[in-house]
Amino acid sequence: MYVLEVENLTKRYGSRLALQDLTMRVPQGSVFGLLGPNGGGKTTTLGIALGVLRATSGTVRWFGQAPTAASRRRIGTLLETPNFYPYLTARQNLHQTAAIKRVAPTAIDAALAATGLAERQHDRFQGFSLGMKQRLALAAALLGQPEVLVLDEPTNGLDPQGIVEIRELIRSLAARGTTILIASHLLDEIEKICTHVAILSRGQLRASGLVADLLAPTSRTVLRPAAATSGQRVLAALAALPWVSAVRSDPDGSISFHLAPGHDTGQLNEQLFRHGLVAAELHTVRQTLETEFLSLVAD
Amino acid sequence: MLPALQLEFQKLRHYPTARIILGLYAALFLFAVVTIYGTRHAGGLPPAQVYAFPTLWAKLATTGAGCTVLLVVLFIILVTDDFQYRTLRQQFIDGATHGQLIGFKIAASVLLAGAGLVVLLAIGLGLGSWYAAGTWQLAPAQGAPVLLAGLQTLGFMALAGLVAIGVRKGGLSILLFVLYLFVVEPLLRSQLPAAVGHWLPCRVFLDLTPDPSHQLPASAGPGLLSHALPLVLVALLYMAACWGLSYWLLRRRDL
Repeated sequence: MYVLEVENLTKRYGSRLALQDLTMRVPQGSVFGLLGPNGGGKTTTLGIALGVLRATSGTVRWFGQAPTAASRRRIGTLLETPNFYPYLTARQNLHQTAAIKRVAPTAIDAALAATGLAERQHDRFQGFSLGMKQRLALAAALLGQPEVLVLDEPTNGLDPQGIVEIRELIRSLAARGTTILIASHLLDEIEKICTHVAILSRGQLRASGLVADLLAPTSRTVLRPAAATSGQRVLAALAALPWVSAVRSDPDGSISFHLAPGHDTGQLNEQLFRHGLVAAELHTVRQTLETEFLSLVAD
Repeated sequence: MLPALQLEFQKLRHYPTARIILGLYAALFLFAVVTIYGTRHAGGLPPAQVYAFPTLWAKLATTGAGCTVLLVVLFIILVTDDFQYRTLRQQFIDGATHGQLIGFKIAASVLLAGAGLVVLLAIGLGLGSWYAAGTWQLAPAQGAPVLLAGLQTLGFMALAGLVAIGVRKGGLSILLFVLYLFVVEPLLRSQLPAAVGHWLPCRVFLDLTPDPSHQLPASAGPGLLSHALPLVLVALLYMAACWGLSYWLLRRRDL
């Protein structure tokens, strides 16, 4: 089941192609990261998905159906900048949002508490720092416990403590089953909280899928045999395992190789132990999302 | 419509610019009434006669037409604020339809027209009861000009709303509206046959209230309303067309 399905989406601004034939699906219950450099098409994709930008061609489906006002009310959104009336207080602004979302005003207190804004609820939006504005936008997005959260750079302007709080909030929401679609430049953040990722560059999809699957092919596992263990026997044992590939003997005496997705060093160690082989060191050198991202958008 | 009115009222109530412009409107309105009817038009008549009910309502409706431009300016600011702050876009994302977004603007225009009428009634009741207390019992009679003044304000705001939604920038929208009202339409009227020029939108809206350069009608009650019926119908058509076009513009462009 997908909460959002985007099919062959194209957006032109005059002669500039902002999005080209994008097809992407966001599974229900996932924390889906949308990555890309500035101008890569992230915000355009979200804008079209939410109906504020018109697609040149292609289709968008929310919850398996064409988007409607009712489907938008099932989504909590922070798109680009926090958009509120500067002369209204945080609570008054949330009251406006709650009325449009058809959420009872009693939900405002919970949203303010979740984002740490309860003490500043009677302050005007125009007096808020960027971090406070971002928190208010998150509070508005959380009103009515939406099934999906769409967050465009949610940690913008937040201090380190705020970033950690928002990360924990996203994790707790995901644990409760909320689907989260998050666009960010902060690759480390995405890697920490996302289950799925799509990488956009120059309006084109460069990669998409589970974060683990995306990083697995380029991650290498390194094994250093114990002093009493023959390196040749280890190489032979590794060669016999169908889920081990690209085995390479390194000059420092260690052996490196790829583990197929779904297999880990624990399983490998168990196999080696059955053959009477002991590893003094066994660890996976994981490819970071940042390295993968940079290689995908390098052209 | 009621939730829209409540939301727009909350915004208006807390918007310092709105309070300032409404205050200016009230002050200008009172100043205009006292200046015009206390001197030139009164022709030396005693205040008890100048501010006597029920003809006072027609005089105030006429004078109010000149001050309405301030309410229209405020309305344009309110509409374009939603583009500047991107709150219109956020409201759509949060689940409002294009129709509801237009509904919010109509609600704002109703509130401002209502505020204008409150000022008119307050000035009328204040001056009338102070200077012509003897005619007080006639105050509820012949209120048609007051209703027509409200319709006039709504008409100008429908036109201003179209300009503001089309242009999306406050200063430029105000400039274009003022240019159309004071330059473009009078020029058009001068070029067109009178029978056609008479039905241009701003002329129709202005003609809803008695022309201050003419003698005030002896009867400003139901007679005036039936006399103004064709104008009222055309004004309503213009308003519907303006809001319809605004809706169409909103739908066909990126938010």
